[in-house]
Amino acid sequence: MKTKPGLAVMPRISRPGCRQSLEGTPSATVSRREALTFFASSALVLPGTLKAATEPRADQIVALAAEGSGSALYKATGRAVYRSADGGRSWQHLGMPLQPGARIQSISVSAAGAEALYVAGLGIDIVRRRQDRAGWSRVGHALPRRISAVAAHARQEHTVYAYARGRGIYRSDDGGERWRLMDAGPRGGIAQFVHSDMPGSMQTGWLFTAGPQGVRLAMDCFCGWRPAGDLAGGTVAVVYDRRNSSRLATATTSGVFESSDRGQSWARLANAPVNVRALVFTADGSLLAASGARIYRWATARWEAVDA
Amino acid sequence: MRSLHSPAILLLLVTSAHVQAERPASDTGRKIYQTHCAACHGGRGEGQPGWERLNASGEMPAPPHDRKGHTWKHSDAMLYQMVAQGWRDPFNKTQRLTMPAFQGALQPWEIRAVIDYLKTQWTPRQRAFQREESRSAPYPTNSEWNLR
Repeated sequence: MKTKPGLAVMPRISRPGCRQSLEGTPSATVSRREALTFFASSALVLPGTLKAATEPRADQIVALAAEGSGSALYKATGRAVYRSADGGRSWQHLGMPLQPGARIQSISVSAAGAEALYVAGLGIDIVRRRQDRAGWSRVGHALPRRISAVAAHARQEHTVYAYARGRGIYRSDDGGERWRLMDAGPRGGIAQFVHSDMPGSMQTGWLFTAGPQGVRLAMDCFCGWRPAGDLAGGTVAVVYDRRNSSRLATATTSGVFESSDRGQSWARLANAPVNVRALVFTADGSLLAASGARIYRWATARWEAVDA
Repeated sequence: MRSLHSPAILLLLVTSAHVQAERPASDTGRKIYQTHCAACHGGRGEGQPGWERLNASGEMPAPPHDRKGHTWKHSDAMLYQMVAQGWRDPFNKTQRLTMPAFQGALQPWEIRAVIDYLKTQWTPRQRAFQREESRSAPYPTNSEWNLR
């Protein structure tokens, strides 16, 4: 079978195994056209081209992350990363060095210990910042130059995953120094993903992905991808609550949805901000959503601007 | 001439016999597989039809163990635990174990033998991947397993 460029390509190492995924029904197949439409409509990077479909505003928030313990929050625009120690009311610019033309697409914070912050995106690959050292270092020298998403392990301090368009999901067990291609990822590609310590995995947890096919999940041994619920259309972000791993939230191009049953069913959160690009559960279980340059908190059945 | 019955030589012979018992020929693993595993996973490790999705009972069917499956993605430690203790897919609609536990039916060396037999069904690339995964998670020793 001829491989179509730009879509999730089966890496040779994974071809015989996990491609026998749980999403192999014809109706679940995402065409290249559908995938391109999804990534274009969600203002993400077109798979295979590394060109922005829609150039985001300079102050538009593209990613959120929270420490596993403690209250620190992180937000990223295309060109900068910020840290907040007061729940998002004020932000400290972290001064990450970027090459001209580079654009941040994803951030993630390690689960424990050194609280390493990983940043990935166009022209960046992956850089790491350790809170105790306050310096940036490029990691993942061996990775392909198409890293668009990064996800730290929910519990293991030094384990981190990276997604490269057209290649698949890589894993590092030493904080990003060495990487290993693990799987092609779900068909259609990944916009963003997260590692969860939800019980029941054969290995150490689960990976939830957002992308053109909605939310997908797989055990972190990569034994096949399966749908998480039946949300129509693509999703741009998915997060889980570290206090309660059955609780998830996802953003689609039409709204924000929450699940309390491990992603098996989803309920729309009313009056969500438009064009949500990033979500995060804080350490106290609050759900935050980023829309444009603003961050909103879901509280008592309504959304409140955090930095109002 | 030194006696063959010196303590050092005897220890070597005993140790050698122990290793023989611990590392049976792959044919032993094949026989154990045919007796205990083939009914669900297929005589050639091909798995059950439609193993990728829940069956009519709301359970995940037995997956293949050959090169088309994903068994090769697991470390020795994880495979041993799966065979010994079983596992239930958390998304199954029933409470039954998806994979039954065999620690009452199989000895530790038999579990290792059947896993070693499964490895003969994989490609060299898959075996290399699994070997790498097992470097940090090898088979448990008997004493480790007995402590669990």
